[in-house]
Amino acid sequence: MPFDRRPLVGLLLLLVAACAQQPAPPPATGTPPAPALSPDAAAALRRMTNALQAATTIAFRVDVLREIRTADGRIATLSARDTVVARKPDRMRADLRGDAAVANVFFDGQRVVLEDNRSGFYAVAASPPTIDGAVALLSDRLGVPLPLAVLLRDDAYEELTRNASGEVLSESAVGGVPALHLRMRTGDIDWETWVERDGRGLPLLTILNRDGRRTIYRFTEWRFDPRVNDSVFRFTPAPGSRQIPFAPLRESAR
Amino acid sequence: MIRTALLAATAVLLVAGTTAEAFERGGGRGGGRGGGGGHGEFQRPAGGGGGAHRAPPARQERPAAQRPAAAHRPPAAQRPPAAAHRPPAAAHRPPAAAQRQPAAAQRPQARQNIQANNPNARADAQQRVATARGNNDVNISGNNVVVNRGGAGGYGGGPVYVHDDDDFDFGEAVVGGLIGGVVGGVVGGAISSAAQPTYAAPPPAYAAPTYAAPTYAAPPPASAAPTTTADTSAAQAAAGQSQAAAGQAQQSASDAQAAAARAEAAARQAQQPAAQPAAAPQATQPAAAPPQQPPAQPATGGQQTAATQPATPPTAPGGRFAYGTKFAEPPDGCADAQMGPITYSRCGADWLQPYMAGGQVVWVAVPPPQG
Repeated sequence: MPFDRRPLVGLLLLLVAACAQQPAPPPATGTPPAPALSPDAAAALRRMTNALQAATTIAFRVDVLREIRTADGRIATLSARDTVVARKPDRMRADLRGDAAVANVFFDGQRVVLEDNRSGFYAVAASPPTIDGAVALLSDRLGVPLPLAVLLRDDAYEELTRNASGEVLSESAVGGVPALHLRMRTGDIDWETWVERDGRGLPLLTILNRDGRRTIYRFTEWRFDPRVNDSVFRFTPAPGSRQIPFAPLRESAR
Repeated sequence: MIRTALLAATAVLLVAGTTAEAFERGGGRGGGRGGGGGHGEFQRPAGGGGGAHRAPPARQERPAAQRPAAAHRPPAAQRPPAAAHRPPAAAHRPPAAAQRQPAAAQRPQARQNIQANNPNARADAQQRVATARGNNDVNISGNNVVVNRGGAGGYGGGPVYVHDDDDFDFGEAVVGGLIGGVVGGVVGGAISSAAQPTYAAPPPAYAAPTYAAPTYAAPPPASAAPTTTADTSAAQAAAGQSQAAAGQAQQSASDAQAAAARAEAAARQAQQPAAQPAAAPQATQPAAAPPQQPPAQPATGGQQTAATQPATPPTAPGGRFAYGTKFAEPPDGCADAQMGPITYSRCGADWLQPYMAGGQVVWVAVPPPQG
């Protein structure tokens, strides 16, 4: 009986066809379009920044928990309490009280001064004449990050929403204050913020997540147009204090 | 006669009882009011007159069973508002001169009065003391922003932490291209150990080079780490000042290259535990860690090639600390040394210069200043 090879050939062809189909490249998916900033989130941020811009003088206090990676690769959390006072457009003072730094930052419209309270050393640098310029100088050139200073900028809304996406996740409460919980993303930074649901819509709590490390800002005090003596922004060296230079930043860090 | 006297005495007793009851009513009302705002605890100055805000002592002596019930108290609607009972603060406050007049025996009472009038008196007093000590804090109080003199927030004696983002370039502190590549980050992990580095100081790769005195007044140029070629040219320039030193430096170059391989291996090992992404590979970055350094110390220099990297950063002649080593504070045994406008910390043969980095002072090992 002659062996009929046609079924075998057919089966072989089917197998070949199946194998040929298996490694077929997946359909081009492309990167999903970045989610946009939802209207309710944009409205919440707009309300907040409008309130901040309306005041000439702002003072706020914030408790900060910052995760750092230590030399052995583990995570540690540093705490701080920062007090910031700004009088637009050219006065700012920030008192940093924490594990990593105990320092005062002065900006009097002409220069920025960073005073280390523990050692009595201070450093001085000529500054652009606006808060925005001084903050940029401190952050970009002098290695003194003031991430919350974005709230003091005239273009705070544009800064916060540039390349940002996010939405209002839910209604929540922070410290008993009704709040809107916004979940945001800017570049590779995930951030969440809880803003007052009512009133001015001020920020109550903000959490940044960068490279798996979180920084938590809990706003505890807000004052609008308080009375501030000009001497608050003026640095006067204490007797015995000494001036030292700012450490130059690496080019890659600028 | 006797009956008349007894009747008179009875009448006197009845009148006295009625008066006591009347006091009692007043005291009960005052006590109820005082619970609201702490009014009843107001300390009146002696002879201030009036007892309307405090129950008379008779109330305490009287048994509880005899005290009038709460029903005796007029309802709230009939009670005058608390503010009406409350005399203005100024009336309670004796004039300043009167406070100064009491003798030493009366002074504690006056102090109590001040405390009662100003609950922050103690804080104010502390603030005055702190004023003499210097420092200052901004304080948000009500709608005022003031500067509190004194105190560093309670962290003054705490542990010293170091900025985790090691973005600073202390190459300028180590003036002279001879030692090329000794920039901040050479011993990146050393800073985390604050004052006491835990690794053995590397042996000096260069012998007694001559450096110009560091000058911080000039703005730092672009901080690209110098290459070996630049090092060589700089070494030649330095040789003009010190031929012998330059010769020894060139001689040690081969040793440095040989050790560079070890440094690279140590760097790779050190980078492993660090979850942070390594910096972009830069062929001109210095070696990340001395060979003796524990592997836990992070490296910041990225991957390097042995041909372009010095193996171990040099130290001052006879010194312990490699140039560029950073400290949160000078180690024990160091003393201030003023050289021109700069106050160094001198630790034997080592010289540390303070820099402001990220909101705190960092001490960087630098070549010995001239002069």
